[in-house]
Amino acid sequence: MIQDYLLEEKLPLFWCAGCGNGIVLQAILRNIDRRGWTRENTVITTGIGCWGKADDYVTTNSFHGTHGRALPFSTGIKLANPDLNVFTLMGDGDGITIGGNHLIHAARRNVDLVAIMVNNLNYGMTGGQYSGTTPKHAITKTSPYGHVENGFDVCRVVQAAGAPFVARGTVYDVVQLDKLISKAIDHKGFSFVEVISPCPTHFGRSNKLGDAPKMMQWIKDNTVSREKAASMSYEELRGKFVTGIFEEREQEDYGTAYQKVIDSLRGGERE
Amino acid sequence: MGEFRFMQGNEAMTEGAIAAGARFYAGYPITPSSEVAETSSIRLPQVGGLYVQMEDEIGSMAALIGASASGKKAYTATSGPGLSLMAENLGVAVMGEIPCVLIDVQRSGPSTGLATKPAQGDVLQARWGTHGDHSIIVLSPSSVQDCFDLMVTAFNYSEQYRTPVIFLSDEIIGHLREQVILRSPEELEIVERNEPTCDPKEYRPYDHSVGLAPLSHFGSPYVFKVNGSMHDEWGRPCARPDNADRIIRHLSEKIEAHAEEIAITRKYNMDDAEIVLICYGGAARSALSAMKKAREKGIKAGVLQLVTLWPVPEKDLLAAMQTAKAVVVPELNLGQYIGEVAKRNARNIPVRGVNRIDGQPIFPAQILEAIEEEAAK
Amino acid sequence: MKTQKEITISGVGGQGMILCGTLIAEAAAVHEHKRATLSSEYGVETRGTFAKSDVIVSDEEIFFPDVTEPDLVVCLHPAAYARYAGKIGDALLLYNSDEVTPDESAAGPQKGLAITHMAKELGNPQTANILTMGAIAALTQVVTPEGAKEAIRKFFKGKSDKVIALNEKAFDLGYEKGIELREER
Repeated sequence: MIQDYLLEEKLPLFWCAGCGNGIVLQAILRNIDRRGWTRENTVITTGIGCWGKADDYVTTNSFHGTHGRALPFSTGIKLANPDLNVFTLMGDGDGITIGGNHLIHAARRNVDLVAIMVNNLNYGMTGGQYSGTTPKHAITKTSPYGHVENGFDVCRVVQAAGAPFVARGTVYDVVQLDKLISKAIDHKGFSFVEVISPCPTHFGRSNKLGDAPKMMQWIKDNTVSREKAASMSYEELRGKFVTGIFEEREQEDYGTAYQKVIDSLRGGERE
Repeated sequence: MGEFRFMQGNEAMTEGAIAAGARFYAGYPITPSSEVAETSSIRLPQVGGLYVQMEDEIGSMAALIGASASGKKAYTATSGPGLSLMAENLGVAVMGEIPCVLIDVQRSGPSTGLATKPAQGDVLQARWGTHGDHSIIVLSPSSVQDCFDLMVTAFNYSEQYRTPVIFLSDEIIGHLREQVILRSPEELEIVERNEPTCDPKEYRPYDHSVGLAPLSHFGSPYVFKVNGSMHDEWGRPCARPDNADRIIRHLSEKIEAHAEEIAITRKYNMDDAEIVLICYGGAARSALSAMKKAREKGIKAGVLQLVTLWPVPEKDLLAAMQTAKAVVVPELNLGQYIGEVAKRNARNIPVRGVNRIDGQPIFPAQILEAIEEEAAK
Repeated sequence: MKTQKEITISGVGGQGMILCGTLIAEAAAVHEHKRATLSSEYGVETRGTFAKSDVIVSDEEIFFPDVTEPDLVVCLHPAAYARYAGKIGDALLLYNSDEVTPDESAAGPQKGLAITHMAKELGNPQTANILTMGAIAALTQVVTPEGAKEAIRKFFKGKSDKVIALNEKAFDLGYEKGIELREER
């Protein structure tokens, strides 16, 4: 039961009406439940921001650290105890902005953990300022005349940095999201899933995208499958969310490789 | 018996950490601490431990705390510029009450400063480097033997008091080579984590109503939350004023109330000392030389060496201030600890610093000069 | 009587002063159970700038680990020689005569030794620091040749017998030349 993983006394969730975070949390907990993982052998680490509050609501072990550092916390947690199932939850501020350096190195280092970055295109918790994924021309609290920078295509960054599993979904297509998270969990090594999610309170309001249902429609309308995107031009893809699996390959993870070093020095003896 | 070796301070720190049971290192190499990283990368996998080099000191500190939360004794080594970056997550270790040991081999600053030259400019940063009210334990070695023995103490304190411990070395001691006895396991007293034994449903890692709460580790039957945000007894976020007050007071009191148990000092010729040198770390070596020379000249000089810098070893410091005619505080900075000495100067005796900030060690002759001047008064 | 011997080995980074000093100090500490320290000064560059190693050997505990009253200063490079010549009282200055042109007017005793040349003659210029070690041992008597060679063998453990033998030979040659200089004094 997914309820087993939800801390009842902390409900209802503090997220705004129309926020996608609850959908993503459900998809994660469904996957944990399906695998029969226990609270004891699961750790959820979070950063700071709206999505960084996700650990408040779970009954598993959790680690709520600092802004952008969830991945290095997870790295230590997992490497020190390889038997743990470690989920790292980050927003776009955590994941690619203040924590961008950790993200690319985590992708390269390939520690066996799942990283889920919810991208709502702005800093929701602090009132809707621009982040590293805010698109050009978008209005935010700190780009009142339209954003002059470009946003990251995060999946391309993580893919280029060498992650063996990279995917993007949206909170509109929950069935696909559930599958992507499932595949990420089953993939050994660093698995990254970006989830496009609406922030009607800030990004939506600032950019006149309408209320929560309209914003969901906006995500749907701008979503393009990876297959379809293959035949589209750069200009046609501007402002679109390309979904699907971008990378899925076998690659020895850090823990396995390091254990081989230990074994070679100690003839297989393990503490 | 132990093993008699000739080695560098930085290398002895690695051996001390491993002897203390540390099995995890996360760090980012920086002069003059890099030998700790290098020797750890060799030694840890030999004993089934793990070395990981992170992308920066921010990530290093985070990985260290994560590993400790997973139950491994963990350490890192850095120097001033790295300590500045580690300050952020040092606060998570403080707030989450997660044990770990952070070695700072001090070099001349600010900023990049003189990367290869000794200094003791991080004494106050070690105490107050991370924001917010808290207390912390800082130990300062003055020999290669200290690098081994005191490292074991650092890990013991960190587990015993559920706190990060800063092992505040300096370039002089980090790079000094001299004899050291690598003590055998039976000679060492090792403090292991106080793990909970209650019903897992009742486990509250931040309920300190009956002494310091036990700390579990991820993967045990005890599920728990670590939280850098203000939290209740369970580790769940909690912004109630009375709870915030409880937590912040606790973070200081759990250490300050035990200051005398944590205090380590060494006294040399203090019985009849009129001129007292109060010193620590690499500068203590200069002070001891100066004391020897002063005694040869018939001046009653003594040394109070502070091995524990924070919390302040009140008792010994106050005792020295009671009997001394004058106090000299040699420091490789412009006077970072002398303020603590001056605060305890009830008799209003002369308290003077001997300070050096040019990247050179304090020469014994400089301290001797100060001793002679005070003795002549 | 001064029981403490203080030696500075100076040159530029990359000349092996730390190895030379470490082996002397280690031999004194581990093999002869004396007190010994080695501290060094170096720049940010691994190669090419002034660097030195200070070795102190004593029967008593050593406090300040830098040389303040040297018994011997070895200069392997003109930059190091310029720093010490005429400025070390009556301590002996030993310079590498293949690198350093001595200033005959400089105060204090000084002796030259063709260290680079002799190391090349032995068949490997890299033996220069071990040869220097031999000369230091002879001039200061802080370690016996037996103790020094034990430290050398320990350092080169795992290398071929030929390498070990060559380095022992370099030590012996340095020691022999050191004794000659000592007798000249």
